[in-house]
Amino acid sequence: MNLEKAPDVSSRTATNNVVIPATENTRPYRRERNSRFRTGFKNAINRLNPQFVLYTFLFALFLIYGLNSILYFSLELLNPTSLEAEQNKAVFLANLTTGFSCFVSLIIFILFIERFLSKNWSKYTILIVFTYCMLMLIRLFQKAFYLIENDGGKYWAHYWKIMSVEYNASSISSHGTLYLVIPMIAVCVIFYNWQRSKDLDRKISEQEYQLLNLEKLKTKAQLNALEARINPHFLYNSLNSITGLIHDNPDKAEEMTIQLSKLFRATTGRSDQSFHSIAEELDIVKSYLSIEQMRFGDRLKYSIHLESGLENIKIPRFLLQPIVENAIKHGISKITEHGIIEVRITKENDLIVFQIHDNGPAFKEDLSGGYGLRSISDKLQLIYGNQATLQIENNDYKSIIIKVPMETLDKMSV
Amino acid sequence: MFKTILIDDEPLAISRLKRLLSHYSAVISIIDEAHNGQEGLEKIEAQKPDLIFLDIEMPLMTGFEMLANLSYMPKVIFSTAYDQYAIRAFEENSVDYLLKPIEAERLEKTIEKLKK
Repeated sequence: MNLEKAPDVSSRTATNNVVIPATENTRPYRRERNSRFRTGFKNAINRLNPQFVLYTFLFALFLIYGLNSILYFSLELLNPTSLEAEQNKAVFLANLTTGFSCFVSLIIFILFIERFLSKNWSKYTILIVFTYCMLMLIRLFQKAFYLIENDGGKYWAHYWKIMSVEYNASSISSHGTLYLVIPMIAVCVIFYNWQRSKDLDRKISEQEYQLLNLEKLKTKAQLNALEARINPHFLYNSLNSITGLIHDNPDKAEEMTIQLSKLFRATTGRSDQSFHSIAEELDIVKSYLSIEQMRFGDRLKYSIHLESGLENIKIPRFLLQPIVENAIKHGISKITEHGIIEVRITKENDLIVFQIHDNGPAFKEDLSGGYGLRSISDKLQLIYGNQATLQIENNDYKSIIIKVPMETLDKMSV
Repeated sequence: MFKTILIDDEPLAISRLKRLLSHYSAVISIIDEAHNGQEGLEKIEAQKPDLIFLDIEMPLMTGFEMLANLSYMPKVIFSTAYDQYAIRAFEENSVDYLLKPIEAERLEKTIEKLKK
């Protein structure tokens, strides 16, 4: 049996591979192995841009240096090898207090001061100045400690000795200043990171906002796609009937034409609004039914019952008319006489219940035959989520029952 | 002279066709009308017309179904709102296939065909 190994479409090097039947030698050709190495190498290079390389270098350097210094210092503290090491405890405390004062200065700055400054350079300048003041304040405390504590005084004496040692007459006058610089740099770096994370948050929420907008647009577009168009067959049939009426019954022909144009106006006008009141929807249904009544004559009787108080509640446009159209297409047109359509709209707790009944033949089991119920349930899903239901009653009182929550649409701004 | 039965489920269509055919009263004599396939079946078997104007989309029994059940076959002129049945109508050896709303000139051509 000769099995062919299918090319691996997920790997980047698929285009370079030669398909090898598994029965042959499975070691890849040398040329192929080299090319795989080369592309892998190229990919890695692409991910290392110069900026990243520089940052990594500096960061690694300082991190290692810093950590090593901490390690050395800490070891000295824990196992003092000399008197100086003991006295380094003061240094340790001084570092702690400096760090702490930097921390406090940053927090105060971000919480209270930063918002009043507009320019970036002003922010950093004020931050540095503020931190400097804080550090000076802490220095005073440290000096105070030195003056108060007799026993611990020798530690602080040692600390000040370190701080004021002159290495070289010609070099930096007081490297005490240098020790000040480090906290300055630290607060600036931390502040910079804080700013960047704030920006990122803003960018994220901007993106989220845009995403939400896009979702809204998509919903709108989907709604528009589901918007009912006047069924061309219906139009055709109506015009046929009108043709028949013009000579025999001109008044009725006129009335039918008016109803038809009413129906058209409802579909073509103001399509940027997806909702209207129940009263408006019933207007459409009435127009539609009056036209069909003229076509079917005595074969159709219909009634519409609307519970009072519900007239102004907003529902999606063309929620009911397609269902009534179904009732005619698949119900009334299939029976020879005494066709009945009943539309009932009532309130049930917080739900509005729409029931459309016809006495035509029962729904087919699989609901095939272009019932268009799918697009209605899609529309309901888009607008109401899971809060709306569409039921099909296929027993004695054959009907379609739609239940929607009352409140939702007033709060939506689609 | 063709004894004719009109078969259509829409009363308006029948009344319009009657009015149009009134111009050809020398050729067409309407003896009856039916409103669905079942009724048409009965009336054709009973009265044996020479010609029928037949709608296709009707309740209970469509035009084609009715034709399939006829033992006596008159001449058939289809008159319907939909054009998708034209090919099948051709297979049924009908005289013509008229699309509603029927235009007067088109009906004239049909009558000419009949006369031949």
